Amino acid sequence: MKGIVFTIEAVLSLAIALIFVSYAQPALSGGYGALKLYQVAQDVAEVSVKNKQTVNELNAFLEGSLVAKKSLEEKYSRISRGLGYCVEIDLDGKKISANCFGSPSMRASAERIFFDGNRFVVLSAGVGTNYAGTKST
Amino acid sequence: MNLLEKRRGFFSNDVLVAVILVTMIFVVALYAFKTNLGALSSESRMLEKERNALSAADALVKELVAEKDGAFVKSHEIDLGKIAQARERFGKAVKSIRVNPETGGGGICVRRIALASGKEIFIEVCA
Repeated sequence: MKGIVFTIEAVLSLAIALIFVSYAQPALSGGYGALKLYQVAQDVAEVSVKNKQTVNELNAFLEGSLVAKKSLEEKYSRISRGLGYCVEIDLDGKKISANCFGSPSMRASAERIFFDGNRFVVLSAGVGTNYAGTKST
Repeated sequence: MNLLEKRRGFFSNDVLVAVILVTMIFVVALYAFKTNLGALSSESRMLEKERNALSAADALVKELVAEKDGAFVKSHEIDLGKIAQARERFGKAVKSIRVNPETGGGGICVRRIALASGKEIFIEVCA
């Protein structure tokens, strides 16, 4: 029989070979997104407990002061805008959230302990990619 | 003409098609490899810059421009006067180091938060 006959197997082999050579590529892994997020979470926690004014406000917030809560919300909102990440502070179950929406695709948190005059308090600073705002300082 | 004479110098159509297909696959593979190599090289350069910016920013807030009390380094407490000096130390690996930048810097940038004179500041390192 004259002419070229392509069997299904031949066509399949050809297609697989073409797909294989098109996709066979060395790939670099990830990037440093997770590390960057972790470092920023550590920064937020560190800066929170090293700033005396913030510590005083955190203490007042723990005692139920609404003025302190408002001031902290403004402060963390400014920090969140500057960093371009959602910032969440957890203080013995009491939370402050700045520029967050939904659930993040990536999140990192860091903890610090500070003394509130009577007892030690654990501060957990979380940063996530679920940022709801425009980045500015 | 017998069968042997008839087949002398004969190049089968099947072989010809096979050769064309193999050449085609080879050309596609070569093209894909070249394209991927370009993308990989570009991605690799970006990662290198990001790593430089991350390392430099980390070194800055934790040591290079941090305030010192004798041998004790006060991490995240920044002495702004040391920034210019630290800038020279990184050479070409870092494009710019800015404090509280209003606009985004060129290249790959990493922004960290620290304290200077008791106030929060943002340090942006671009590579």
